[in-house]
Amino acid sequence: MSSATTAVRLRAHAATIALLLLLTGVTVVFLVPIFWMVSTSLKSNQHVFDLPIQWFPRRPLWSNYPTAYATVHFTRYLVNSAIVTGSVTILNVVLSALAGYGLAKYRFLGRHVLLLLILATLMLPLEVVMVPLYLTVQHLGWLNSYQGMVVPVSANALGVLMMRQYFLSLPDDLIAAAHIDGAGHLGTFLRIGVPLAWPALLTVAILIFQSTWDDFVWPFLVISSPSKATVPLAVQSFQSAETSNFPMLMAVSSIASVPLTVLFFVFQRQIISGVATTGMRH
Amino acid sequence: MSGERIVRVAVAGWPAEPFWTRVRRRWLGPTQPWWGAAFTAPVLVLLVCFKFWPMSYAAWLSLTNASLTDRARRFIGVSNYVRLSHDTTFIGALETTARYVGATIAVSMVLGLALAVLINQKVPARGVFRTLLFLPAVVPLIVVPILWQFLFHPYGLVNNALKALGLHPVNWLLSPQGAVGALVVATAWRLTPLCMVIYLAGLQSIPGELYEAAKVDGAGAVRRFQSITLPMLKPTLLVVVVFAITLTVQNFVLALVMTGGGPDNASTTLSLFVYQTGFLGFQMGYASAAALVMLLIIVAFTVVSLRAFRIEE
Repeated sequence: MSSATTAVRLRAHAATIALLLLLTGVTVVFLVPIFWMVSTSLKSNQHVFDLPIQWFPRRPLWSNYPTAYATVHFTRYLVNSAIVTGSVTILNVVLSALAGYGLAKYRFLGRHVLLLLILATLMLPLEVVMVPLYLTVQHLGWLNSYQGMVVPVSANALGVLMMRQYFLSLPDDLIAAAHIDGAGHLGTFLRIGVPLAWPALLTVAILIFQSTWDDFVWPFLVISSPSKATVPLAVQSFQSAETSNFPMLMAVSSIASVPLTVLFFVFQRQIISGVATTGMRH
Repeated sequence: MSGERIVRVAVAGWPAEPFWTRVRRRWLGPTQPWWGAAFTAPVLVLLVCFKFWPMSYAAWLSLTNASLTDRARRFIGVSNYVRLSHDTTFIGALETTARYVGATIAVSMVLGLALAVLINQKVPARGVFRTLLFLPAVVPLIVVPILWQFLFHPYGLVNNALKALGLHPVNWLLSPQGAVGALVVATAWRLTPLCMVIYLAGLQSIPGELYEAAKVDGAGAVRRFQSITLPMLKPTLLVVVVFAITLTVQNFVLALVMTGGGPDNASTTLSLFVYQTGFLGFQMGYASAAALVMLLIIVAFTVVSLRAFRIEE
């Protein structure tokens, strides 16, 4: 009896250990590129391809980081990215909350059609409409401007759908009670809807912030002068100028990765559940 | 809900109420409908201006000889589409896209599922593994091609690993096959964690009792995976397919920065073709026609996968 249970327990332990080893192996493979990026960023250019492989640079050149930061003028681009991403996020959250509330809590003619139209835009990525969108923005005179980067991406179907889903779960009685107490429609939204919806608002804000900060294509098309460029544009133009200075390239890449990495570690729960559920919305 | 039903019953049982009032109540709801429309209006206006209008504008442009440099535009019918069907670069881009998207999706869907199943077991520190494995998806999109261009350098880490395994080094970015392969690896590296997280959410919604019951019935791990996990995961699979296809078809940053579409257009995908034709070649009409083909492909795949997964349910 007891020897049989020990055998079972031993086998369970062995399975767990095997699983752990497998997971560790896969994780290492997935993380080697990131590790190599940081490691290379601390080397000098002539030691990049040294054999045998130097996983840890023998004498880490920490000075690569200040040099990379200064060469790219990161401060200016971080400010630009913050302006653009901040405005896009605020606009998106406000507009998504309004539309999600309207679609969830009111029954009006054409709301089903409207919902379908909003859903359909999920199949319409920027890359499909980039040519006419560019011409439209050019016609508005918004090329090479902040509003050109912000306004066209300030409404997003995913945000609307997430907020609608959230407001659907909000009991109608609460809203009816607020109406009976004499609150107007906007007042009810602001005093009942918004305070209760803040977890959903936060998730939408984080997801929009992340994707806007990361966006390369739209700013790349709209912006032509460095004074309005965002971080991804600065990284790309540095790359095309310094194609083979790998330590500098990796240092620039590492610096550019910091904001989103910090965001991820602070809001990990929202980001992962956000990715999991935005997929679900299709 | 119940209040709503009471209102409806009351309306239906009130013969004196005029027909149009009844219709209005039925369709527009009990509260002022204008407020609902007002709440939705700002988003609607923006989507019309920056999604639907460009969409229809693209349809019109694709029938003209519009150019970025010349303001004069002439209606030329379907000539752009006819030209596309003869354009070897475009046909090549279609083939490349098929290979690139097919391979990337196969790799990240299978690998993502395997990782999700592994993490979903009772392992210690699974949260840590999930966090670490998600990190490639946190790396900024613009950094991915720069980093992988370095890894795929002739003397880079990938070739060193191949040599360590006793294989021949590959001229990744300068050979037609290697360039597409490099793009696939780089894209799958960033896409797999995203797929994994979606799968994990799906796996966690499968009730544990199902597995317990199957275990009692003597089903092994493989059998349990085939008869419980896969069927229960069908909706999730659909989500991952559509998500992954849309993401890989549209994205051209990786190809643009890593290979520039080369060598000799071997790694030019459809979206990169649209960018190059429209913004580097200034042929806005011709690029719009190609963009519409791209949209058609995305919509077709979405509809097909929706159908395929729904019919089996």
